[in-house]
Amino acid sequence: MSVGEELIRGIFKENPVFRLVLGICPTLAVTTSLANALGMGLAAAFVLLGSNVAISLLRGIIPAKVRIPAFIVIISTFVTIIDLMMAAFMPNLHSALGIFIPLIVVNCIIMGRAEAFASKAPVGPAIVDALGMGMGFTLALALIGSVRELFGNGTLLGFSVPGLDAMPVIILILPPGAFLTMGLLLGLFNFIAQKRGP
Amino acid sequence: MKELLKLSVILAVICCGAALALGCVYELTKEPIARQQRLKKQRAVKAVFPELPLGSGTEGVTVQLCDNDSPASCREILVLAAEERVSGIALEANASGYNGPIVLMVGILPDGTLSAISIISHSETPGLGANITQESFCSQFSRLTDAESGLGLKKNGGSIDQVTGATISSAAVIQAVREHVSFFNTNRLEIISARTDVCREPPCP
Repeated sequence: MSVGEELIRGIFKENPVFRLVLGICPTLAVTTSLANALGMGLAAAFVLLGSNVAISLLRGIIPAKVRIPAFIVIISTFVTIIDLMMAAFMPNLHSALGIFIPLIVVNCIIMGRAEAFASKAPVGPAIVDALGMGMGFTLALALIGSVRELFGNGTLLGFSVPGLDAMPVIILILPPGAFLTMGLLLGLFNFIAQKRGP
Repeated sequence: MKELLKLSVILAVICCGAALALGCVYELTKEPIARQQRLKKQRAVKAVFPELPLGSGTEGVTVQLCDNDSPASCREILVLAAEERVSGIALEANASGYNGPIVLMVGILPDGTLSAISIISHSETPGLGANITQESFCSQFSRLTDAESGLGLKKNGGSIDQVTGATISSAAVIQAVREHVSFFNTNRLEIISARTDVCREPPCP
């Protein structure tokens, strides 16, 4: 597989949210607005990049028997770094994302890529994989976030959208709206995947 | 045994590396985080006293008031002064909202009038309870003279229009504001006399 293919694999063919259905808890919880979704997606992508590089570099040293605790320590280090950085330099976004930043530690996408890819691949491909998967996760969150913010609140990135802001469908920004939006988009992605064939 | 030792050492080395990295980042971000928190509080104090000229921060003095020597009941109260008189009292209040705590700043004028309120942080439902931060809700608390008795939702005979679809969040804010206004009214003299550097009761020179 070429570098380009590796990179876009995470965006559609193996999209973590719509194709692999991983990391659903933060996906459902923080996508109430496009800004929150982008913040969460980029934070997770940063952690994924950091942990993939570190785990790939240390793959010769980490014994198989203690690989899971070692991965968790590495991942939680990057999560704490981004948590502190956001609190210091992006306080508004940090307070909007709240508990979901620390919870990136248990995001299955990051653990999954560490276990399935980074622990077996050299640094170069691990970086490409992290970028692809990180982009796929961010784009999926942004898509759900835009739909929910646009129809549920009548705004996009906080700006009112004429025509939609008069009668927002409030249920879309409530928890049930997360499941509805996610389910419909998941169906759409499956439909497209079936059309394209295996 | 030998393998166990090897595994432990490797894991310990990884943990040390992680601890070192975190220590550095913590040191780097400690000051900016503290500054953000100070700024947030300053902005809230400014927001609850829109008519007072606040700037340098020297006009406020924080005093502590405790009930019956129990340290848990202590409250930090910011007493502001301008032109040799106490000009305002800012109290930080905690309300239990729908999804978690709501932290707000309550500004009270020395005569007991509610100056204004400002929401510092909350975790209410976006689009519903989160609208408690909006001007249309908060401005109803501005310049209320009968805050202790008249504060309440319209449907309970009060003067406040609730946020649509968010009775619990609205009531929590009202409850917290009422408690703090009545706390101030009860302890008014004690709080105002905490500022020993200014004239306390009229007539003043």
